[in-house]
Amino acid sequence: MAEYAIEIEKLVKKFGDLTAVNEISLKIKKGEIFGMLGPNGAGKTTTINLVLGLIKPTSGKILVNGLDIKKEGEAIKQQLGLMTQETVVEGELTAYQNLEIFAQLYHVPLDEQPKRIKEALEESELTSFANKKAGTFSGGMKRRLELVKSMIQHPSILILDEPTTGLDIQNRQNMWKHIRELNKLGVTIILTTQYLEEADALCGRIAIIDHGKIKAMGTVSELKRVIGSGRILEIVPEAHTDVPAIVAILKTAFKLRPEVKNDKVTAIVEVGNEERVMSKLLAALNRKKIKIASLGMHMPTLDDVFIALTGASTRDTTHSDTSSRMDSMMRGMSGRG
Amino acid sequence: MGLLEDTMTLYKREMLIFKSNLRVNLIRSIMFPLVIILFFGNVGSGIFNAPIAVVNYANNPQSLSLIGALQANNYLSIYAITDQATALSLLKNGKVQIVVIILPTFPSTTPGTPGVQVYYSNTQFSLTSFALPIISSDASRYASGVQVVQPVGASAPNPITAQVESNALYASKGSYKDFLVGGIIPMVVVFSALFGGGISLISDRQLGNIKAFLITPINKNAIVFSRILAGATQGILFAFLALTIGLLDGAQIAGGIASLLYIVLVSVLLSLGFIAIAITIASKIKRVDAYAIFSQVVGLPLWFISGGILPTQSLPAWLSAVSIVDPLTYANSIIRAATLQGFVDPVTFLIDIGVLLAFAIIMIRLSFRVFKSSTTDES
Repeated sequence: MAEYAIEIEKLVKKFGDLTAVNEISLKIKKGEIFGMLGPNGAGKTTTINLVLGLIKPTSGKILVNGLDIKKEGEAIKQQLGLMTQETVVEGELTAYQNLEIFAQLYHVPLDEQPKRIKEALEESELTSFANKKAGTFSGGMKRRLELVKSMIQHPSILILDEPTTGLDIQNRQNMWKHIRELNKLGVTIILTTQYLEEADALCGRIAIIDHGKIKAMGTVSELKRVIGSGRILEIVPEAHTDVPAIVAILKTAFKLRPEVKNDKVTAIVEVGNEERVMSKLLAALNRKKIKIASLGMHMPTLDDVFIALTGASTRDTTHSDTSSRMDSMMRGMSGRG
Repeated sequence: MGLLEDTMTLYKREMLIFKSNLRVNLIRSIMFPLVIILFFGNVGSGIFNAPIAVVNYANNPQSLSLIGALQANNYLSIYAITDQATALSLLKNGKVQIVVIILPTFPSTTPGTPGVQVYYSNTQFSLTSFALPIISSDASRYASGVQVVQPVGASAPNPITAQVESNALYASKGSYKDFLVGGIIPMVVVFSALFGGGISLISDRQLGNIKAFLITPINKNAIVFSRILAGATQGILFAFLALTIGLLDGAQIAGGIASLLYIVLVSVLLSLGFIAIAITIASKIKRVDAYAIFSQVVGLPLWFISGGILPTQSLPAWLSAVSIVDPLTYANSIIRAATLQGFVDPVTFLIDIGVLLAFAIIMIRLSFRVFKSSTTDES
């Protein structure tokens, strides 16, 4: 048996003259929870669509459980489960019908279907709602149904494309619990997310993807070391209008590279320099009569790694009205935009 | 097992969703035929109290008796008995629809010399076409010819002739309603195919359902095939609902059960072809509103020129030529022969069915190809 659940080698996908995935190579071990992190349009979903066989790569190689996607597409489809950003349970159908249709589409043997569906309803705590239309369910219930629906064929790899987007905290915690339980049963999990704490809480390894390339890959603690031995300086002014002035001070007087997120200015400061920077900064701000709401320094988090590598925490897709086929490659509003 | 099983699974899904929205689907599909049959089917089937003005030059017992007869029926109502100038100005002002002038020669028995002259405004065509024969028959009781003059409106005066013996061999009781109900059926089938088939595909793609199907190990053709079958099932259901509405409203079909079989056959072939068109176009168009415009722009003209609402013989020559490439024309041809005449000529039948069959096969093949290419290059 193959050692890796997924092996991707020099994968390239071009849409016209736009390169959505640019020579990505990665290996995901069996039994891992692997996170793919990146701004909107970084190429995460395109990579996943390539693995699922929904689109064909321009070049490169994909192996799923050692099987080549070009040759054994049908067999691979039985091995993969997908839960997407949009909840795709069918509102007009009952929970039971939703599961039954997919059991049949995955060619689960007819005599085994009732058992599988019953199990799925129990796992999702929807047994008593089996004959209710899914359209009447709450967001959390739909997501639970969606999760067991994507597992109805008992895949060895489950791909979760932003599984908790739009869920409240309680439902999100619940979803995390389900994901961990599935993983304990031996299911390899690939997860894309915008939420850094989600990647932090669930994933063994993470790849940070931007502009179709892997910017960094490793465990959470390995990634935090990317920032080096620095500390994160964080300044929030009382008035939003002071943000440019603070950025200017940090750039000129301290030779730092500040990043802006909403009204928060952050910069990486070398270890050993913290106290000197702090006192000089306070004096400089005083001189410019800039009032500060909060000022602090902390150890790097995944958030900081992400900002340092991609130049933005999230990219506002509405900021671009280009007619490109994808909303990828959007230059964000902050960072190097 | 492949295509067949996958198709049946997805067919079941389509029908479950259809059942789930049954009320909306029925209302959507019934409203149009209901309005058209009840309204257009009954246009001109009766007029009541059409206002007329009478000018009496004869002023003899027969002329007074004629005025009494005109007043006595339910269809005409005498607005004024006055002089010719006033009567014609009433006609011009729209106060009356018809001016009946009883000439001094009334009752005339001389051929070529009318006893009554009628002026009418053709602005309310259905009204005059019913009213004129009534006046004519009333006047003819006094052995008097009627000369019809038409001062307002385009076409030349059409004198009402008698002395012709006519024998209706087919559709002797055929009414416009019978004609219309036959033409409604292909329309209902095409509209339900264009609308239902396309919109559901676009919304399924937007909701991510198509993606969910594509990642399962099914034959891609099953997605298209199941939709075509489900659409055909629904099309036949709608065709029968439209027919029922027509029959309840008093339309008659000749040919009985055989006619129903013709209707089923034509509806199936027409459905298959048009759902395939819907899938082909919906694979290319990403937005529901743009698609809705397409289905209107294509559906209505195809129906109008196919002889659905008026016979193709009434089309101008260039449109008549266009109607040759309209599959609805062939559907209408069979359904009309079956429901009005009760008999379909075998040669006509073979030609019409052949065209519909070829149309369905070509469109289905095209839809398979276009859908497949839209799913592999999509993002």
